[in-house]
Amino acid sequence: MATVVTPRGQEHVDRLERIWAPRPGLLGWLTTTDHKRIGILYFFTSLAFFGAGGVEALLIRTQLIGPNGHLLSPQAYDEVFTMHGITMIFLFVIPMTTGAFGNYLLPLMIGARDMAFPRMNALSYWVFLCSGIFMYAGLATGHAPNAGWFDYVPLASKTYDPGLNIDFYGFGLIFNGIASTAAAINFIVTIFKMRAPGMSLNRMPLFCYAFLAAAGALLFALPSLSLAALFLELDRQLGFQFFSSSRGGDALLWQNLFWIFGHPEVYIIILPAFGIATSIIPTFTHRRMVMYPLVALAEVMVAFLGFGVWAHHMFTVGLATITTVYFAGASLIIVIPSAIQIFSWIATILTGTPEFKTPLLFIVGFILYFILGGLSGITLAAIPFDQQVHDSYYVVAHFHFVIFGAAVYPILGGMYYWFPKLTGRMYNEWWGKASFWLTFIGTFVTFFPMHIVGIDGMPRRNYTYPADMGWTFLNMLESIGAYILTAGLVMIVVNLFVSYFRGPRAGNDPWEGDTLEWTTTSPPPPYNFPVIPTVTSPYALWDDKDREHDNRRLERGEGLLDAGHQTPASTVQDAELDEILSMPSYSAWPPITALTLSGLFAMLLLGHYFIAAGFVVLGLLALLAWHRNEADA
Amino acid sequence: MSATRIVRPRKSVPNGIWGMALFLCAEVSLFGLLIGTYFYLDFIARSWPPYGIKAPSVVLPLVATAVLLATLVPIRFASRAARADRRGAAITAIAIALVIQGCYLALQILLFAHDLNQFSPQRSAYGSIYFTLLAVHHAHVLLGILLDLALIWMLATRGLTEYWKVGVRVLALYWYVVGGVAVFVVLTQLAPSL
Amino acid sequence: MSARTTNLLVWFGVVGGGLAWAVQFVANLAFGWARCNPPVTRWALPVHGWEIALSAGALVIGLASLGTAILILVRTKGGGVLQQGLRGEGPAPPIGRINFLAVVGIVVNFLAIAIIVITGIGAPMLQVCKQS
Repeated sequence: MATVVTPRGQEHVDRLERIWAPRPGLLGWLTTTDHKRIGILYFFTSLAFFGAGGVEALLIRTQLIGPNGHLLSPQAYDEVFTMHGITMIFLFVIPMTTGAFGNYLLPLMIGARDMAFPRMNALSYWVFLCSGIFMYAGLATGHAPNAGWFDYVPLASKTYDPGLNIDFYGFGLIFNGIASTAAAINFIVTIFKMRAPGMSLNRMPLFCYAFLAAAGALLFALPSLSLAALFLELDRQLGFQFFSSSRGGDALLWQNLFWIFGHPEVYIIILPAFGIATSIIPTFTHRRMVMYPLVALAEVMVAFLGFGVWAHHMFTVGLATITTVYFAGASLIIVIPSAIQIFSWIATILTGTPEFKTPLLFIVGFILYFILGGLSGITLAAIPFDQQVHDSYYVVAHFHFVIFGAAVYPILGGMYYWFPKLTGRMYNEWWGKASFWLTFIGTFVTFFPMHIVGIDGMPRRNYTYPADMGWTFLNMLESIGAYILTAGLVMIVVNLFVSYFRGPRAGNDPWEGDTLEWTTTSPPPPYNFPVIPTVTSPYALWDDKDREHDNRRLERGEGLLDAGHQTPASTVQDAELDEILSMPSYSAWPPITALTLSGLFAMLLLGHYFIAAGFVVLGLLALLAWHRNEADA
Repeated sequence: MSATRIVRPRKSVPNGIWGMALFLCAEVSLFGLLIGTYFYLDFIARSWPPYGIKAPSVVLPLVATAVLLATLVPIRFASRAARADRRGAAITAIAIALVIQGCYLALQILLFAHDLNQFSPQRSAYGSIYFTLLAVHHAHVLLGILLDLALIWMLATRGLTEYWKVGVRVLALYWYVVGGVAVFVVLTQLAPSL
Repeated sequence: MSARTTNLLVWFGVVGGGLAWAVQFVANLAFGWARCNPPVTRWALPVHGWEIALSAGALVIGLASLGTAILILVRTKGGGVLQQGLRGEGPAPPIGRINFLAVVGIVVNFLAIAIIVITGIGAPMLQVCKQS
């Protein structure tokens, strides 16, 4: 229901508008700490990286459209598929889901006015941007990383890869990890402490559970990647022996450390997509989510169990069966929480009154691809089968179904779903549906045949294939599918772009949504909510009594928190109001700190260690200056 | 910045402490993996330490760790003094801890250099993990010392506001965890001799 | 029983089984690696014995955690998630939240016990140090 503002209420609103007025111009964007602006920065940056990764994908598919392709040399192909993986995972899907969707929507959904640490939020963005530029500087200077996104030693060691290629990746990963760690801490504290009073753990939107699980997994998984990259760079730069078996090291050490990060990473990729799906389904089926507690626990359980399955990426390296059995066991059981969610979503759609608008179409596509990708995943959890198809296109098919079909589709659906909220305009529904069908067909035609060529023996990560293997026709089909898919994605972008300028005005709540972001104006004001909302259920917007209560409080001037940039903090479990926090508004220190970190990593890459130490000092001084303002970090 | 009016004490842990606690979860994970790597390499070795490298001597590292743990006392004192609004006592306590932690770090650097003369990280995986584990730990101690200095400066120039009271508690939490990790690091370092 | 103890029990009912699985998992990995990785048998460990012992211990804790969660669910039956109103609201915290956590704990513990049992039965049946 819309917020009705009386003249007296309008006075209060005007006061809040003045307090929270954004700084104008470019400087306003560079020094912003507003979670919505940061979300928008993340959105466009990750979209640009998506484009780059997409070009890399098209290069791969064009190279493989026929046997004995000449478009890319073997060395160039290695760089392209490596950059494709790096870009899509670290520079597109994670920043888009956590940085763009998470940052923009989370405070709105929990009834807060900002994240717990607004300046650190800005730091996360600027570090992400700088780390992306850092890694692409490798590409630009002809030294793109070229040993795959998983960067196995000994191929990635100095002996076999002496140039700067791997160093751009190794240092780039540590650099990027800082952004994600900071973001994870911010998400967890925000979800724990900044919920509107009354939003106890059993009344939190499922979107928040998904992001809590993803952030928790990020926090514990990233150190493994950073450590692996540290060991790799110590071996490469200073001649350490972590990975050399002749000196007591072990190449499998890299694989273990990488996959201890790498497997939770794929759950980190998909959990926010689950969150988006569980936001869209209740809205378009006009029904509460079936089995809310089970969906909440399934999301957290998947993140937790995800730490116990990593060696299923290593079933062919010669581990003892008494070791691999533990991973196989966990890999089988982890299916169950995912299945709980799938049953819940399908049951909600079937028992509700579904309106198949574009966002829901993408979610149905997501469910289908998640089931198919999950099935191929279960087959891969069986050690004997995995040993037959390891390193073949069957694996490529599996993870593209789950990453593209299951993680990206909710992003696309979410872009349509929240477009009216962010822009105040409605997209074109006909073109929306057309873009869905084109994307859907493109995805299927591209990735389904990969299961077949994989079982037929086509290995992955090879720059071409001979003409007499019987793989030619299906590869051509996959490449055609890739072009269709590209057309679908371009159609989505064009639809949203044109609708931004020419779409009809959308009100506050065009979908009759269930969560708090639909109470605000479209786009939301800088202070999000004029009064801190009253919450008594996970579907806050369907509680008319609570929303009327909020309107009356606005008129009476209660719960405004307008003595500055204020927002409430509550207790973790039951969300009892605990204190009023004063938030920072602008700061140049986050981008400055990000620049000092860029200097540090650039100097480490080039081997100028003393200058690098100088940048560390500068960074610490920036942090000191940052904390001279007494708002929360 | 608006001055905070205290109406009643908080029921829950402040955001700043949650933030540091979560950061420390990531750091504990890091040390867990470093220690795990140490034993992983140990388990695949014919001999550990490798032939030609002496097992580490036990006394000095253990004494040093005990000294570091002892500094948790003034740190805790500082935390309680800050909660009780006693700025001078808090600053003094942090300064005392700082001096002792500085001596600890200096001793550890001397031991590190001495070990580097005995064996090299570039000759064996043992050396690589030994020196990396210790260096990462010492880097955390150095960071803690810098935090001590920063906090002393902020308390002296900004005063003991609500924000900086939480700051002292955050510092204390950092040192408790670094101290705890130090115990596991030294036990790992000395594992071949124990 | 104080509120703090009750809260600890509630959370034990949620995380007990999961943490027991985690310990069983890490410890068994360590024993397996120690026994099977070195080129010579430096660590002549009774691996199967340890596997059974760790799985049994983890199972006990998992069952205790499950039992706690069931007990709490029964105690908070009167006003919880299973008796939601039409609009989906539960009773005010903390009862609604505790009931919710009890439901969560039961399902989580079933899953954790499942993994503990299948790996606890499977691993001792395998030949020590045979490569897969």
